[in-house]
Amino acid sequence: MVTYFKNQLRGYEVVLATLGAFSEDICRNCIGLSGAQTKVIKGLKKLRMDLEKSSIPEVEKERIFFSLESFFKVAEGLKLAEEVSCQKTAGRCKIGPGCFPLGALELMNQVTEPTTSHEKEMKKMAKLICEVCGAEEPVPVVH
Amino acid sequence: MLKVNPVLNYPTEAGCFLRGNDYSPVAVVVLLNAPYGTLPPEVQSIPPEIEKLVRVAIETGAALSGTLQTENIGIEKIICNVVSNPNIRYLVLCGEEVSGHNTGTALRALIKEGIDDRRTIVGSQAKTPYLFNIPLEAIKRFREQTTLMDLTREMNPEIIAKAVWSCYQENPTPFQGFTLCDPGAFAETGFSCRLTWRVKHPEEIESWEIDKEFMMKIEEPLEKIGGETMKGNEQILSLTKRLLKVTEELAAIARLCIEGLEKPEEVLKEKRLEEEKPKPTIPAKEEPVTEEELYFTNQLRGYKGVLAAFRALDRDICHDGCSLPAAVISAGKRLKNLKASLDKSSLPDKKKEKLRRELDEFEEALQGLPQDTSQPCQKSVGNCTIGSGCFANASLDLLKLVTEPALPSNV
Repeated sequence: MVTYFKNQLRGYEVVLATLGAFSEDICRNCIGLSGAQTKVIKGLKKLRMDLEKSSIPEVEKERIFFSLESFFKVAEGLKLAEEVSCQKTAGRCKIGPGCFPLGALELMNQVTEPTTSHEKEMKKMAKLICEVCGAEEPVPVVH
Repeated sequence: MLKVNPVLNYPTEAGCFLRGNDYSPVAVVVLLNAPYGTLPPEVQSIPPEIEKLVRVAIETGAALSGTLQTENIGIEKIICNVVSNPNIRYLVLCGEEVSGHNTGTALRALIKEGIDDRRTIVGSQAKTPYLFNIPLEAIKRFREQTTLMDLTREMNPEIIAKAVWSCYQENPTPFQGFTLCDPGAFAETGFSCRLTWRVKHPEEIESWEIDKEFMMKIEEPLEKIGGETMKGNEQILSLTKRLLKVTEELAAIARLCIEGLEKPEEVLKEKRLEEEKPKPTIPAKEEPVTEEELYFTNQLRGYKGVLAAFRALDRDICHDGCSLPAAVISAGKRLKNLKASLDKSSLPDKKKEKLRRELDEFEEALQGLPQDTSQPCQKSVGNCTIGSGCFANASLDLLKLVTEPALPSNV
């Protein structure tokens, strides 16, 4: 379960760094970056909610909370113009149909394991049952 | 046949549509296909073939005909406009499905299945099929009042015209498996409603956010707008609170006026000048003039993101792995290639020099990153547990987002 949070944080670190770089560019005036920022903040909020509910050791929890809070600060501090609009429509972004902020956000899709914290809990429980009865099958096992 | 007048403020919502005969039983929805996230909410230009469909429908006798892009606000606007005119009994859906949004599936699912208690369209394949901004009665009414004629993927104006024509025939008329005729106005009077805009950006809402608290926030004001009656002390309390708020705001305005009158003219002038100073937005940069220059500028924009991602990964376990060095080497090779292309280009020397300097900076930055590919894969040694994905490779792929302009032929 700790791995789940750690992997998510690894993803957010690289996403935030990339968004930070794009915010130095014309993306600063772009609705794409603003949307990506919102998504990241929401994702971090969800992660915080999941962390609060999780049963991981308090020391680990504290550590992850600390990282989460620092990520929140970075996400909220991304440089954005007061008024944003699509820079393709404004005629300034001419890279094609792609969008850098959305592309940066998609780096999160690299994290596919562990699937969800809930699923991991289930797996852990199944493994415990196996250990009790001596079975060595991985997961999930129904006895 | 019974025909009635639409509500006074019909059509209640503005949008990208044309208004035709108010007594016609058919409205036409043309799906406006644009990749998800690439068009702003206010679409600036409509492809001519789409515009033709919209116009043909109106010319043939539709009540309303317009485009639809989003699976939330767009559908909500359609609902408001349709329920405000009881004469509209058919909805013709045509055009290519909106990629990413899947708006067509959302509209079909809405009419077939409706919404659930989280105001989400049941059975829709759209990303954010939420109807947060309109009364539930309007959604119910819309589903009762209209029959959907699903002509998704149909782009032939003649077929759309035939569909519209078939809808207002007095006698049952066969059309593509349907038997159509004008059934007259819906039994109830027009329903006037507009978007509440309680949720301005439904596309930003994640499904896990829609909990009880969220729903209460949406429902409460709607009921109050509908005219919930307050009793006795409750009413007095509400009025007093509002009066207090008005008084506070008036006091703030009065304070500002006094402040302004008391300050000497020079201070005010300075303040005005300060306010007039342009706020920093993005560093002023020269816009690329030629396609050739644009090619290099766009590539450099991509490298900025890639480099930032690499640096972040270097602080992580990727520092000791083999993928980051491989990606760094690959980026370096591409950069060298870009440099060679720049040298061959016909850009003025001054421009070339400027771009080369930037390329050199990137190259230098890359050299500061790990290059040793003999290090073990962090997945193999059990340190990287993110799944089959790889941050380093995906970061390098950011460069693929730049697809325009193509590499100039002379380089």
